[in-house]
Amino acid sequence: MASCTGIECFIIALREAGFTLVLLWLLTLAIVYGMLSHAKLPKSDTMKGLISISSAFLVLLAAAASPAVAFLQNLIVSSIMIAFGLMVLMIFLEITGTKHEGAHIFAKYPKWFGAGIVVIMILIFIGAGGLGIINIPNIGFDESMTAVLLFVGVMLVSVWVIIKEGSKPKK
Amino acid sequence: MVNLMAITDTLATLTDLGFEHVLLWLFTFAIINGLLAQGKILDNARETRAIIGIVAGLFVVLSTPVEMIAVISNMSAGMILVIMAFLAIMVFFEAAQVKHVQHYPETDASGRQTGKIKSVESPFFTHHTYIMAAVIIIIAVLLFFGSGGGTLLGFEGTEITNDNISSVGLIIVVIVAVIWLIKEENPNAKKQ
Repeated sequence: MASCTGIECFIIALREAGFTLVLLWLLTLAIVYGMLSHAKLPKSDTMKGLISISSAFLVLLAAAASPAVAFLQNLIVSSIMIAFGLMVLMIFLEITGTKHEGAHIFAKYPKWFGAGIVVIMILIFIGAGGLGIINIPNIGFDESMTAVLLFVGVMLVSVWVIIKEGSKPKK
Repeated sequence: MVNLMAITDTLATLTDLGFEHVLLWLFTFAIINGLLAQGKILDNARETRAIIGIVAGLFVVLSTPVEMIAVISNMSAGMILVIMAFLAIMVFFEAAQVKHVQHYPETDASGRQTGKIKSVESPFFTHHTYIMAAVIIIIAVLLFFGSGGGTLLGFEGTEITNDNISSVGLIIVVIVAVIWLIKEENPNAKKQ
């Protein structure tokens, strides 16, 4: 084996042994069991356990198990990077005391920042190959696609401005 | 007396073992668990949240640990440098007494103007909120991409060419023009 540190060698061995599939099984089990517990449906813990274990095995045995693992890895890595970036931004804002009327700009404009986060998450989902997982062909974001999106964006903003202007009461 | 060599040796041993992978796992676990707790997602099932955090941490460690460790290290180092720069600027501003001063006509208890002018001082950074916010967001974005965060997100080969600069410049001009037009339409915004 190539030179690697102790923990690195362990990680490589786990990866080669297909440990990611075990993680996928565990994640499915946890999510399904958690959702059932949250909804308190069914009331029997044994039934909840059986449903979650069956679901986890079904996901593992599905043909899309390996692509799903790759997708989840990309998704989590990207999300962690975005979360860390936002954390750095918030630290900067806190250090400089950039507040408007005592409130952070994130708290002042929650809708705008929420929309921004949603757009970023959609881009991460598409970039991680999420469309392929749910059987939608991947959209290639080339120059023409970007131009079309920009054009649609400008159109939407223009329409929004016109509608907003039209809805104002005349003095 | 503290033996500094012992600390250096311990750090070297930890690096040789690959301790940074454990830190990356812990970091991911903390962020995922924190976000789930903050969003009150699966509030009745804390164990589930913990398992999701553990699995997410292992997924990250098993996927691209070396690249991600490098990016996070670079960003952390950059963040400390930027914070020090901010603190230095703030110290200079305080030393030079650079403050925003606003003058108001003084009024008495009944609300009538007394004819005197009252001056209110506020720190420079807190007064120009939006400009500061824009500058900070730009610095954070540059730090993110400069540390290699963009490459991890799949923004490979994005070069800063003249064409790119002119396109971005054009978009910024359009956005500024639209904001200006909207503000012009609303006369109350100017009074505030």
